[in-house]
Amino acid sequence: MRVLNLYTAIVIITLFTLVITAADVATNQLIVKEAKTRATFTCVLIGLCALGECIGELTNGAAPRLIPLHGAAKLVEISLSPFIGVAVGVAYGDAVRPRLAFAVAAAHALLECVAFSFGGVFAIDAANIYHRGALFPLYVAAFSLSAVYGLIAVLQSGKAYQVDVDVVPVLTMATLAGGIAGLYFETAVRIAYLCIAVANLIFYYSYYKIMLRVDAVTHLLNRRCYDVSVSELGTRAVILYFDIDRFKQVNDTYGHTVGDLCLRGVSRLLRQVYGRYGRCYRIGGDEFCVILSDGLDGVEALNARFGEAVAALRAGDPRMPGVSIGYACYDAATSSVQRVIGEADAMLYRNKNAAQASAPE
Amino acid sequence: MSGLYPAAICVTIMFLLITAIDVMTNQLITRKRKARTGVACLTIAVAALCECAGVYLNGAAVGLIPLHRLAKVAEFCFAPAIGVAAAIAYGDTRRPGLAILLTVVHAAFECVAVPFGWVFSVDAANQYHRETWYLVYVAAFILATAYCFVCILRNGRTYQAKADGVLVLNLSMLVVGIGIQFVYSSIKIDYLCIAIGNLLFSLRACKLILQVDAVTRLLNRRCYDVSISDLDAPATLIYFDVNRFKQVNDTYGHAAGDRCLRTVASLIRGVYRKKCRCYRIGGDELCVILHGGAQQAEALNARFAAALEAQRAKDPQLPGVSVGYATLDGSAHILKVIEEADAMLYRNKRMMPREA
Repeated sequence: MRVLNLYTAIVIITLFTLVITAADVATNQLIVKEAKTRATFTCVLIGLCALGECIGELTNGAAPRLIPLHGAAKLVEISLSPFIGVAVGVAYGDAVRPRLAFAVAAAHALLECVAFSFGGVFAIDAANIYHRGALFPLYVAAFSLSAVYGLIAVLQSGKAYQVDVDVVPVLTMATLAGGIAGLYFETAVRIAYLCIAVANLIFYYSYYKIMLRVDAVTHLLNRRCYDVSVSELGTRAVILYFDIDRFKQVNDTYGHTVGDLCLRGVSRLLRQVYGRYGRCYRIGGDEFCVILSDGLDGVEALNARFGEAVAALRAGDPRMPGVSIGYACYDAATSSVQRVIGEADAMLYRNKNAAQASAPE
Repeated sequence: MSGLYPAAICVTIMFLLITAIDVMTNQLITRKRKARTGVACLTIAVAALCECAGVYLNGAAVGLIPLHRLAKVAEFCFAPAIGVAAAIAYGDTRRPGLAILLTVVHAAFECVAVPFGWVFSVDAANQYHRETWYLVYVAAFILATAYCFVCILRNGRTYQAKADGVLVLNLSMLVVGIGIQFVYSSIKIDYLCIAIGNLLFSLRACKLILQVDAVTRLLNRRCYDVSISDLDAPATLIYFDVNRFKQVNDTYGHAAGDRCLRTVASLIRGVYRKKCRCYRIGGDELCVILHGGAQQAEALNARFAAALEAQRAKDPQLPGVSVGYATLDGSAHILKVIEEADAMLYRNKRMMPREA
């Protein structure tokens, strides 16, 4: 077999894609160091697996003295590749129990090393030819499990950050599944690591775009998203504003840590009560907004539930302040967006003044 | 032909589809850019499918010769259009009309050349051969790719994307992929490389938009926050505050306010750009982070003051700008350094002569 063929050319492109992704991560000014380390680790992992596969392919059937190299390359690939899904999940998603997932992948890697001694998963015969062993499906299972784990983590983080169902990760996974299926049924079609490398690139960018949409403290959608949503407000949309009463006082009395705690608490309640029906935004220091897409029905009930939840929060921690609400419904035929915002704002301040008047200082 | 080639083409088409959908669902990209990205993806897909058809028709039944010719000429017409389409979609184009015209002229040449077999020929056994003028096609393709890179580089400069190893790597990938195919014509990997390159360009364009403030095109508050949290000593933070900006806004209107910010921002970029990163961190607050000490900062600040004075002489509406700076040397906490710079800024602001 000639060394440079379509397959090795694809491997070169795969490595290029990984290096480019890693370079992009390294020069990205908008993500923190920890996220950079995780993304780079994922790139290195995929690169090692792709190289392992490539060396295995090139040494397959070559001179028998290359048998140890062949074995080592395949072992590296097979023990490391189930780490990829876990690493992707941790780097770009909301991974559930990442330690357990890493432990499982490590246990699998250990198993591969043990199985290597008796040719359980794969074997290389005296003519330096590679064969799949009886336990090969075990490897496939570990790999698939890990890929599913990665996808769930990525989709989960989309949900946590209020992204609508996103076709891009799903489509990416479909390409990946196609690439892997090709490899499983037709061993000559070795394109899986290219698909993985590109999927890695796309997941990295999706993660990065999500990070830009949310507020770092509360994880609600940020001001920029709010501005876009308001400019595209549909008729019958209800816009609700929330303002934490005397937030400055909380900050000054108990410090910024308690202030942040209070913001996070209120955000959590907003997501719990309104999250299912609309989107939640943090639009200023202590100002929040919820946009519901479908009419006024039930808004009063939701507000009552939110009031109860705030009361319960305050009962648990007396440092927590109250929250004032104002809302209005938008109707394109009779009103303008500016007017609706003004209406909701006016109601908010009426409620705030009422709360202040009745509250014991 | 092994099953790897059709698999590579399928994957190529999927990558293009993902790129297109990713752009279409992106709220930060204007409709015009979306349409242009769609055109770029489509051009690549057509060229890749034509190549694939050519591969399968090569040496097939003699009756298919016209179809084989058609597929090849279509590929040759579309391939140089890719660079131009990508330049328009992701770059700051210079004379896009001329570039499109040249692409069309090249395509016309390819069509005229078919019956004469100048660029390629398909023989009686339905076998494809490169001919003497094949190099015209190669030249057109290389020219289009170079045009694309120049436009994308120019776009990066507008957004302070400097030291761009990513772009160089992207170019190297394309050169390697296309080079391999040029030398070994059986290793058909070019459109796969181009599809990945296209995806990278599209992601890059989105990233650049996200990093800057829409009014001044300086790096935005979020970039600033991340830079501050990761800052290594020694670094000097220089803060700028436009004097009585609120008054400019109230007197002359928001459009004048924006214009004033843009002027100050472009002066800052002119002076500091080579050594620093420039940010807009609030309404009328700008910041420069210099990886160096106070001496360097003082020299640059003096140049900025001179540039501002010159500009104010021409444009009397332009207000003054107060500056404060402090150096992070590893001994003090970053918040202390910011406070120090802030304090200096406010001392300077108070010392400003009352402006009419």
